[in-house]
Amino acid sequence: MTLALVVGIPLATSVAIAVLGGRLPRRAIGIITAAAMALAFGAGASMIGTLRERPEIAAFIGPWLPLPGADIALVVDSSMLAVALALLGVSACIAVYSIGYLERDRGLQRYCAAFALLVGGTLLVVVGSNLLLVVAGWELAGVATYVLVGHHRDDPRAARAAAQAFLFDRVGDAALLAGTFLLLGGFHTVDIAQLGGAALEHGSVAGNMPLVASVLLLVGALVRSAQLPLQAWLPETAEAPGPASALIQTVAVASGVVLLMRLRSVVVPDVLQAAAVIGAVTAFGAAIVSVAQRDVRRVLAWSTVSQLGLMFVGAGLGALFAARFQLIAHALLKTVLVLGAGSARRATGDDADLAHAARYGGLARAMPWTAAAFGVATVALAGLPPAAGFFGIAAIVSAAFTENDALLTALVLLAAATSAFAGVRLFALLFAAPGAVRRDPPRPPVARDIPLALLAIGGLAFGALVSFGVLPIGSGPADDAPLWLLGATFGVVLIASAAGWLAYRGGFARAARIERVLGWARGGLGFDSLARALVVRPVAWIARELDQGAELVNGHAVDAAGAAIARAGGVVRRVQPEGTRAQQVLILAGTVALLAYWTWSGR
Amino acid sequence: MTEAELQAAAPALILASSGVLLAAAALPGRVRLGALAWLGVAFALSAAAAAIAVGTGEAAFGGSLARDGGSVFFSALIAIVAAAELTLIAADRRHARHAAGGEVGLVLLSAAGAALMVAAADLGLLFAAMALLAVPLAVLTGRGRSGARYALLSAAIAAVTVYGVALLYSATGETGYAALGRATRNPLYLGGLALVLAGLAFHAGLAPFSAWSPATHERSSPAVSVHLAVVARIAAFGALLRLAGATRSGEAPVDWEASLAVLAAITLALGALSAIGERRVKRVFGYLSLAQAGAVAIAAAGQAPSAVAFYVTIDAALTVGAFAFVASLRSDEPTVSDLAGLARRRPLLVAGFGVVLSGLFGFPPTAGFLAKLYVFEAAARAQLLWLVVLGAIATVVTAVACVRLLLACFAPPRSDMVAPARARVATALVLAAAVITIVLGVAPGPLLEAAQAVRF
Amino acid sequence: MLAGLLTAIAAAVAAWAGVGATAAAYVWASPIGAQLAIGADRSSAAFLMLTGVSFAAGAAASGAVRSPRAYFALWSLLQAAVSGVFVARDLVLFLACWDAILAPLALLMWHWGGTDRRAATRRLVWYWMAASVPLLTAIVALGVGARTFSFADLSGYRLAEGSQVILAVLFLAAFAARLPLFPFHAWLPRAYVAAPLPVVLVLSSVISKTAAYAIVRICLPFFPRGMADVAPYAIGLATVGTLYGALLATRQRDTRLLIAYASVSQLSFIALGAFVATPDAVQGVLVASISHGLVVAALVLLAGTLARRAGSFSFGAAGLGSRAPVLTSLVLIAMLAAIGVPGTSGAPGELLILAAAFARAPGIGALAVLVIVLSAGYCLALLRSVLSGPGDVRHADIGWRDRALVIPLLALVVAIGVAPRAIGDLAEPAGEQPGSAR
Repeated sequence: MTLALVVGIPLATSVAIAVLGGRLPRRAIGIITAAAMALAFGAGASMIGTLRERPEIAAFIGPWLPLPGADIALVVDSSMLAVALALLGVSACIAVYSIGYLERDRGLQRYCAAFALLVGGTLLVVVGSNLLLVVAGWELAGVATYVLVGHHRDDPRAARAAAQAFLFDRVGDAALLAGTFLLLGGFHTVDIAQLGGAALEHGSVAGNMPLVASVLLLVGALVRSAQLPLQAWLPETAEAPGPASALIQTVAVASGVVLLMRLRSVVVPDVLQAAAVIGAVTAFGAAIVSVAQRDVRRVLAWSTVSQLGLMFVGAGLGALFAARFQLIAHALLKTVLVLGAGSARRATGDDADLAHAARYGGLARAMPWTAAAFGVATVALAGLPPAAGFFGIAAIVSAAFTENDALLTALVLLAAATSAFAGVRLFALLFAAPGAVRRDPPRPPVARDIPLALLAIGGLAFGALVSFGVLPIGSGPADDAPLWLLGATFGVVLIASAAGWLAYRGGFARAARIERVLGWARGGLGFDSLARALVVRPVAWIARELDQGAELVNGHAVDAAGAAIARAGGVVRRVQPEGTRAQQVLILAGTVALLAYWTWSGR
Repeated sequence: MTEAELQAAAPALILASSGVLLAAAALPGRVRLGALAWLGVAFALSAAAAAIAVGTGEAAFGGSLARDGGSVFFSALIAIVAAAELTLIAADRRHARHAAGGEVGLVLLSAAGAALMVAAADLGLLFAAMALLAVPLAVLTGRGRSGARYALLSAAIAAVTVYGVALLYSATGETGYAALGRATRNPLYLGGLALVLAGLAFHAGLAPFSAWSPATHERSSPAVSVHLAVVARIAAFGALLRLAGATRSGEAPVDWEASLAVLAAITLALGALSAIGERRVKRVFGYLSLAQAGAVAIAAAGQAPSAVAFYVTIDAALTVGAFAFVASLRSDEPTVSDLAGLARRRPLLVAGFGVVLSGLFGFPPTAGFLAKLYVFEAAARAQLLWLVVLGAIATVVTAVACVRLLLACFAPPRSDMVAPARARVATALVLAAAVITIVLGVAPGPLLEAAQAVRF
Repeated sequence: MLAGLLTAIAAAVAAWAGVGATAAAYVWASPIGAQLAIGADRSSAAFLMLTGVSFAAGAAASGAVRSPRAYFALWSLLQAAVSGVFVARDLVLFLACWDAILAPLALLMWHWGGTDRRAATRRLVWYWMAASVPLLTAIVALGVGARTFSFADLSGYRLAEGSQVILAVLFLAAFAARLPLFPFHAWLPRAYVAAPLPVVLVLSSVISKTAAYAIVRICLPFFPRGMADVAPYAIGLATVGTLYGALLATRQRDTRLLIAYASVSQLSFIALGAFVATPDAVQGVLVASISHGLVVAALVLLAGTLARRAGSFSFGAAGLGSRAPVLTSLVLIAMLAAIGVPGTSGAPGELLILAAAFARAPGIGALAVLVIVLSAGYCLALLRSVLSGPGDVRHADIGWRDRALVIPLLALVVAIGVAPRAIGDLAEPAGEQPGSAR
């Protein structure tokens, strides 16, 4: 039942805040949310011991739908518990950060309810025992994302971004549900563990179904983790308030990777392979776009897309440890980056444009703690040892290498290098580069720096802790990779980081040539307009035509039928003779007809 | 007359003798019409009571006057409707000004003819009864051009009927119905039946023999309209069922269904379609009564005397209600737009009228719903499903006409309109019809049982 | 106001009494074979509860209508007729109640409606009356053939397959027009705009459900083979209707029209479940019906509240997002429930029906699942109109009366979403019926 608490506390908190939040003092709402996250984290941590003794913990809570396996039941093993703990820990830190960040925000109650809902929903994806429950959590997180992204309700851009995120989310839902129901039809259950067994046993006789279902499930995962070609929604969510953006980019997007990992034995190998390729391409492409961005928030969002691509490579290749490791490390570090960027934005008057931010220059002096945490996270995420990022990237590179896939390996290395370059570029422009304007922005309150520091330290130490077996999240990283590969990885990211530092240390002006070259990638990966042309426009056109045709055909046809009957009445009335002679003739004609019929029929 | 003969003829006798009496009483011209009419109501009701009291029994006059379930039910119904008509006459003050007191007697005489028609089991008697029904009616409708027309047409159809009777006589050599069953299928016999059918269809108001109906309804007083639409129809269908029953049992059974079904279909379509869009209220009811005749013909085509009996009873209540509503209006020839504002001024009347209209198009929970269903069930049993479909469609079309009348009452009153007359008796009749319609719709048991006893 | 309150209380009490109702039968018109047979199993009880809740909410929301005595009299008549449909255990009584709904409904629309009410009422009346023609015909034919109208006797009566198909088509024609199933929905958009809001509430919430209920109660058990033969075409229509309604809903710029087309979509989806007709699907139909009833009641009430603030039902930048947080949150929850987000009552029915559709034919399921995306489209359209924009500072948040009406409805919606078995188990007997009748 402790497991139920892990999911139940955030969800209950969400409902409680939504219902009762109006009565509570503003500060209490934020504190309750943070405390709930911490409590759930504690509940999760208390299960670590149990999981040393048995492989998994299951909790049956109650029946839900009358379909096989569709009960409200949870299950967790040690690896998923690690993911859940990481997500909860990150959430708790973001919640603490939010207290100060949203101090004067009127929508605090709504924000906190959605915050807790997002965490609860995502955890349901992590520990839900069956696919329908996973979909349920998935959709709840999607709704929460919508609310969080659209938090600034007066801002039309936020509204558009929220709507886009929700639409993409529903596309993913539809694909997931379709895949789930196909599996249900073929294997007669939606329970994930049973599905895995059934796929092994009957997969070969089920025809095309497993392949189609796998593709659909993959589409769902792609949407949520913003992989090509369904990545467009995530960069837009940068319109959300800083901490909400952090939550979305670390917790919400994790569900896609988690799903792929949990379904590894259900999804057919070819599709897993495709996921790895898509992940590698996305990782590289998104990293390049990330470098080209001039908006702080979008640099980070695209970098998230790129990092998720790396996780997909790991999950797709079956290097689950690598993917999991990268997931956790990224969650810790990206949170620091997004929150740090948020603090920096606050300091520069909510201006997200790097070109403007750079004019202030040298924010490192004004907010040293923030800058330090940001710097550490940047380096760690770039993959410089001994920080966590290095272990993750190395694990993924070696996984690709062991598959003997040179292209994949090269793509991953390139992506890692580009990512490192982009990260360092951001840090340099934001904190290090000298600016034209000199002034002292107010220092961020301690409540905002403590979570950053905690997370940065966690990110730094995480890799080492895992390597030395302190945190039980699975077998060691990159054990079977040759040493030269690790060296090469290290070299590549080091060179890229150094290049980034050298190029941008002096600000935009010094890097004008690079920026010009990168300009073409600023607009994203181009799939948006393709999707708009292929899907959105035709659908809108159909809807418009139907709308105009509907009333014409259906409505007017009915009215016309009515009018026709009324007219027929008039005609019938008019043809009835009024004159005596005519009536006589009519009656006689009737008589003759009767007479003729009767005598004729009598023969 | 023997006792059995007296019993068999009792309803007709009471109606006829009271008719003669009251017609004679009206001759001096000093008697008040109201008193005469109320006296007539009493006579008519006593005729109904007599019919029910004597009950069924042996046929009298050598088998030419039946006293079976059919004759008892229908003659009682005829007498009750006649009473309602006389109440309408009594209530109609406008009427009193220009009508001769003889009207009361004529109604009763005509009703006597109707009562004889439903009991007649002899061709000669049938013809005589038809004449007794039609001649007073010709006088009653005989004001203005259309009245003369009815007289003319009914004379013509009488000639057709008598020709049919002659053919039948020549085919069987007897005038009794008993002989009809023994007849063989020869053209004389069938032709005779066809001509008699034409005559009965005229009085039942089946198209195209109903050509007289709309204009005559428009010109007649409400009481006479009821007589045309209800009493004459009951008489015609009663006679028809008896004749059909007699010919059906013989060695050469005759197929009435096809002709009746076709007549029913034409009548239904004509009545229902004509009713929508018609401006003059009396004509609307004339058309609606056509549609009702079509529905009865469906039951007749389905060889279901019980359904016919149930339907005409409900129809009688509804038609009385409808024409009582007309009688309660100030205008002699009201149009639909004249109804505007009525709902505000006479809410009770309009409420009752609404129920009556709902009954006319068979809306639950009025008895009209069950009646329609009963009729359709009869048709379905006789494999006439197409008639059910047609009947259902006609119901919808009639509904439109009825709803239009009702909504007209809710329209805002026009400024140039005069206040409607206060017609207490007519309003009471409308409400009575409404109550009967609802009560019979919710608890139709007793009436249905009585209708079960209707056999020929 | 008082009359409204009393009517609301009476509505709730009547429904509550109906929940405990057991079967009873009185001979009504024995020669015709009609009985006044009524009875309520658990699925009827669920619908009766919905009837009570919706009519009570509608009456309470009616407020200060013109000529309240006539209004509430008609209102109660309407509830009586609707409840009659849910408890009738005899085809004649069913038909009587089914048809009787039209009169008070049309009068309420005609007299108390808004602009265009005449034309809208006329079209509704035409449409429904026309639809009652096949129903009447089929009931007569069935009753004559089976020599009974009683449900109990009919469920044991086996018809030839040919007759089953014909009867199924005739019955479905009538039910499709009332539900309404695409393409028989021409009366609906106008009626939603023209009728007074409380009438829209019960029309969408309960009266449409009489058709869903009737398909499950009459068509599935009495003509199982006929329904199976008709199913491919019916499923096709239902699927098209689901997508069509959702597509059109995304284009509407009037709250009532959006709810109207969204309802076309959702009701077609419910019909889809009924046509697939596996026990799971039938369960889904019942849960989805109750859910749609509750959700749409809340939505209509909220649409009224919004319109009172904005002055009209048409979309504008209401800008209520930051000024009326409670109202907007309620709209958000109701809308999410309408599009079937888990945790609300919309999800269980949707999932069950989708699962059944996939089991029946993956192609159908794949089409039907698209509605998840399209429904998000209209959901977002409505939310954007409510939330965003500069808005007007004078806008007050939702008032106590609407709060008292909407919040319990939505609480029920969430409760059913978390524990759908409360209704699912309730519906079990009817759910088994079609299966066992096969």
